[in-house]
Amino acid sequence: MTLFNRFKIVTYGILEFILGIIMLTNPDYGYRIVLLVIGLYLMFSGYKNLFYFFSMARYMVDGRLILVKAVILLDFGFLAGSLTDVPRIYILIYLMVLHTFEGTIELLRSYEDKRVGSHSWKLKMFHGILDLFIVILCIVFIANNNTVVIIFSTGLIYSSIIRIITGFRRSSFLYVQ
Amino acid sequence: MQLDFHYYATYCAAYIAGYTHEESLSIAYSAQFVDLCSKTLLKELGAPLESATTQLQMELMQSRSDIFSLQEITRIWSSFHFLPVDLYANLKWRTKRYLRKYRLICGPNGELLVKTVNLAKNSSLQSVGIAMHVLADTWAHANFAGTPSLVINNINYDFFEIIKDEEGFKERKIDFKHNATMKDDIDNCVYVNCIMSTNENSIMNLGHGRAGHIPDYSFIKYRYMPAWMNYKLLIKDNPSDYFKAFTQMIYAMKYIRGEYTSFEKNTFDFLSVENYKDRIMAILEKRQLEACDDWKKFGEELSGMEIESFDIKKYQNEYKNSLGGDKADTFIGKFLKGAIAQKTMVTDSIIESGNYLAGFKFL
Repeated sequence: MTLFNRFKIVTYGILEFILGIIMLTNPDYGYRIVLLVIGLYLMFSGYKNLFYFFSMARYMVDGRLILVKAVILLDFGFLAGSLTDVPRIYILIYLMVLHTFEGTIELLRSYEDKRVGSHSWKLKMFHGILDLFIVILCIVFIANNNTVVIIFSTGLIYSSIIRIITGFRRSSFLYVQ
Repeated sequence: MQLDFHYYATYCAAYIAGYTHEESLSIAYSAQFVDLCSKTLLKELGAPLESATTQLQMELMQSRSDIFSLQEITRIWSSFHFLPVDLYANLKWRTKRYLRKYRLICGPNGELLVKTVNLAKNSSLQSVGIAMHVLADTWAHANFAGTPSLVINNINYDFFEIIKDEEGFKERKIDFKHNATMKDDIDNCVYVNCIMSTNENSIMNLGHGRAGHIPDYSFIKYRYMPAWMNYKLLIKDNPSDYFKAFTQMIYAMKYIRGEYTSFEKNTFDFLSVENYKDRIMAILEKRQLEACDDWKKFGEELSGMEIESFDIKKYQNEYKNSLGGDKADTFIGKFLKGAIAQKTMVTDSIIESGNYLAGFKFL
């Protein structure tokens, strides 16, 4: 890995971590940040797909599918960014569905790993249970205004830690000449 | 390709090329072992993980989508299963980003094939087996790349099998299903493939996953529209290609044994199989999911010896029970040395071509 790549990944991870902490400590502003992050994420995905289309997918058979995807993502991104007040319950439901899906998939993968004798099944089981635990927390604290922010920022902090670890990951390759 | 070609047909080719029964078995074993030597197996053996020659479905599912995982996937699949045909291929008006993927498309008779065969010369029988696996796969896996790529490896609904009948040939549409527990149904033209993912680097877009196991079947002739071919149709005639693979393996092994002074591209040893051509073509064209029994019978008739069934555990205890430096002299030890040499050669070549998909120049 080049130094620049390491720097980029670690910097992105640190920024994500700081954002997560700021949101946790300021739940009132945090809610607006959640909306902003979702809007920016969708817009970024839209632009990323546009870039993918113009740099690669337009040479591919049926590549216009990527262009359509990019336009739809951009539309949703602009929509989310233009909303000033969305009932928090909607965002909570979105997070609950997302974590239920992820948790179920992780549990199924864990079962599959265990069946074929892989040692990583425990970690997957832990991830699956954690996801479902978050769903339970969402249901229990559905009336609490800050639940969305806490769950979202915890996810950001987790993602930032994984990113920073990736930045420092060993990437050497054994060469025998 | 599968066990039938990598093990039994490779045995036949090695025997015809002049190797003894025992030597042919070692070459065939090594050729097949390339499809099984995963990190999971190497962990069990306590062997260096860098020498993995394949990845299990489970390992692929666990791999992350960052550049390092992508490079690891590319190193393994490009080195052993999808040898790039032209690392310097060019197309007008294409971006560098696109060309990096395009240049990893697999095909027969590339410069890297010559390097692969030369690497096996004056090396162990295990290295010869590895080279034969790589050579054979250049024919079966042609037009797909050993790196995840939607723009290269995707296929669409326009996928037909060309079936020979009394009146000539007829086309039958292939129906793809995504059910991993299902077996391919050749009678009804129903095949299992990977689900489509619009993520360029998804493992669903690795190699011929989108076309299922179709490229691995020797009997099938099909036409489809590769994602990278600008809406042109491609007809892939596997029986003919597999026959070329078989005769090129014989030629390559004769070169390795010293019968020829150089290994030339696009050269086949048709003469050695002149008397067996009908028999071989009959095996290749027979509509069946695997042709192990037919190849085994043919091989046993050739050598007059019994070809034992492939047993993944055959050499494992020898490796596990060896101490320190002695491991390198075991069957698996020699195989792993050959695998690292092959992986290094291909990775080096890809990096040298200015393509970072297999690794960075400065580590």
